[in-house]
Amino acid sequence: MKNLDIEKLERQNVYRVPDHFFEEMQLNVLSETMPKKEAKIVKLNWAYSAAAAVALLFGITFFVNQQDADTDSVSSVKQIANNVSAVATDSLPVDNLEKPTVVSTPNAEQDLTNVVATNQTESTAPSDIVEQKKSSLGNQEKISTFQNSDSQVDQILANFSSADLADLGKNTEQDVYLDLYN
Amino acid sequence: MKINETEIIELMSSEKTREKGVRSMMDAYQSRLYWHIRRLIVDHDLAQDVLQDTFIKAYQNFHQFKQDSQLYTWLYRIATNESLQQLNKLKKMQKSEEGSDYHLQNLVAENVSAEADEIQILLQKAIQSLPEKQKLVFTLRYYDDLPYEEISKIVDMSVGTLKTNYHYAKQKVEDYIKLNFTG
Repeated sequence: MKNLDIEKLERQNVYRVPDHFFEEMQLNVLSETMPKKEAKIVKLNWAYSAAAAVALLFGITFFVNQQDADTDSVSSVKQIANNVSAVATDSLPVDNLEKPTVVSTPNAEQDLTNVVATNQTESTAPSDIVEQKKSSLGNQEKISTFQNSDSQVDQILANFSSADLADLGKNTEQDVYLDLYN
Repeated sequence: MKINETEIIELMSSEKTREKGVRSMMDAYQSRLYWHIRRLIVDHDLAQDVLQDTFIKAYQNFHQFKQDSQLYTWLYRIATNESLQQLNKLKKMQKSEEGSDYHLQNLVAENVSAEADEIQILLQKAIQSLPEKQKLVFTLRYYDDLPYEEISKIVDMSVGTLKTNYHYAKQKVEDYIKLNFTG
């Protein structure tokens, strides 16, 4: 040991090192240095939030009011329909009230919905056909009464302003057959 | 595929490629830096902490890296400063330099692998008996084989002082081994 020269010794790392130490160390470093990828958080401006809340409030109010207006207009249409039918029934002769007639308007012969009823009456007994003939004789009288009822309907409709009539026109269902056959 | 220092610096310089740069930097220098730190402070857990802190500081202060020196020199400088801080803490805990040297020599005995030669163990213990500056110069020159010019940048000492310190350190180490070798 007298002639020891450490330069001639092998350079050794004599300390124990745990397995996978460098991988663990790298993960620790990256977790400290790299920013975590998070979803972008958009900060809400209070002014925009308030504006959106007010707009929503107005929107809901408008929607509710619109619903009320719709129900009013529907009820008014029903009321008009009741008035019209009341006038029509008042003016009809008593013998026609006894059996449900298929003819309710001057254009009834053109109404396809009444054709089915007419066909059904054709298949009935001959006594019914006689009755029908009788009733057809009375149609001439009915026409005059319908003219009276028409004038009453016109009178009722005259009470409505043009705006009301436009609303009613909007809210009533379009009859597809009316478009087809008129 | 080995990546060179210039490529690591380029990767670290761009924010988009910084993560890859940090990984490449660790892959390239982790082993050399770890063993430099470990020879100074012996304990593995402390060495791991110091190594992690070295890379974190390198990442955080990369904008301060002046490319007139080599990247590994800059990393060695950070690692050395971090290690010296740990040794200072140890001295405060042991309340004296002799106490901390004795503690470190005991740590060497606890941490060496079973296959280590007696002479290698004595060499490590001898290093722990050296004064701080001599310890630094000796390990950087003897194990890392760094040129005196590079060591000068790491420890802020002139090349002449370094050579003198290395000469004295080597002499002390050899004397320590001769004295304690049982053969």
